[in-house]
Amino acid sequence: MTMSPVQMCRLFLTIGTMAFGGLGATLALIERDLIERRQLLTRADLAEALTYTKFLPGSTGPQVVAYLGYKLGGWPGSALATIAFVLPSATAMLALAAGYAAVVETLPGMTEAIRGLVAAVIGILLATTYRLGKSNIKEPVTLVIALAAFVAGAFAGVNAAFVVLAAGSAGIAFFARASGTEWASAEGQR
Amino acid sequence: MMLLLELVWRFMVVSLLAFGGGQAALPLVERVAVAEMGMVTPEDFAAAVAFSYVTPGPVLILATFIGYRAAGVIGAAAATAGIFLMPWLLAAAAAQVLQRLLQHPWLQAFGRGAGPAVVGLLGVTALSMSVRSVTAWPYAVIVVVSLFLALRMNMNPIVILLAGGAAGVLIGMVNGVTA
Repeated sequence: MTMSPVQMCRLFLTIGTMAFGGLGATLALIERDLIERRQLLTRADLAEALTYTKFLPGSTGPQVVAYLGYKLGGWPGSALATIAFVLPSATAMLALAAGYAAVVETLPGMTEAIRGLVAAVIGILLATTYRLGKSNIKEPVTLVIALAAFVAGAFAGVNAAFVVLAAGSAGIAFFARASGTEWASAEGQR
Repeated sequence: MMLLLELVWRFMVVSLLAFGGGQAALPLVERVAVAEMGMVTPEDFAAAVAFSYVTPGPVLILATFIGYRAAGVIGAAAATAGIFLMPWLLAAAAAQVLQRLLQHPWLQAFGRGAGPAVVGLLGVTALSMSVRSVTAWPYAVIVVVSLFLALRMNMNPIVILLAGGAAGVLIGMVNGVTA
């Protein structure tokens, strides 16, 4: 579209810098900057981006940006938008990692602070477990998968990637049959 | 060099299995980088999670932190590229050609199976972090209070993390006085 690479970089650098608080903030900023203010995209574009990236593995925020970037400038536009979007947080993270390394090995009180931090992170992860559980576990089959994954990871030491692949395959076995018949037959005819 | 390649491809695998967004990939990152590969310590992972909430942008930017701890600045670049490359490729391809494929019932069914598995693995991550780090009851109190604040009060994770760190310092001071 009518958008220079410099302009595109500036826009997505801004969104990447201000997107505190995850996907919700990212979407709100895209809506404000790209849809309302500059009218480069429509709400339908954003809805479309969310619909399709939802099915894809990976971080949804950068993927919505990648999708919309493609709409704005093809493959180069998509690459540029995604890099510009991720760059601010990557830079901040790098600075924090370097600072952490310097501080954690010198300041005496830091190990105590980090122990408290770890405990708080565990609490937050448990809250995330509950929320994801509520949206992902809706029938006996998914409950069995979740419990099996826990046992396999905690007590049997099964590789995490393997657990997810096995669970996904189980998902295909249980859920694909009902809605997947047309595809199966279409492929069978080929 | 081997470590850099390892970082790129391990994070690539993690990103390709992250059905359900960045949060869903946290247990995979912990399992792969800490438990299976031993690239960083559990404390490093916890700090990475904490910082990923504090910084803007996606949670999976914690790959940058882990990459740095494992192999310096180049490691950070390798891990960051690894975790975002494939999801970017897939999303841009989705905008171009993949739309029909994405509605394939098999892909959706795979996601429906992988979702609950990630929940189970998150439990494993929380458990293994607890076993190592919750060494005394005051830390267990921090865990429970943080869980309550995050779940019931919907409090900003940054505030919870700061409070947790401050509580840790307090616990350390009290222990220092009694010891």
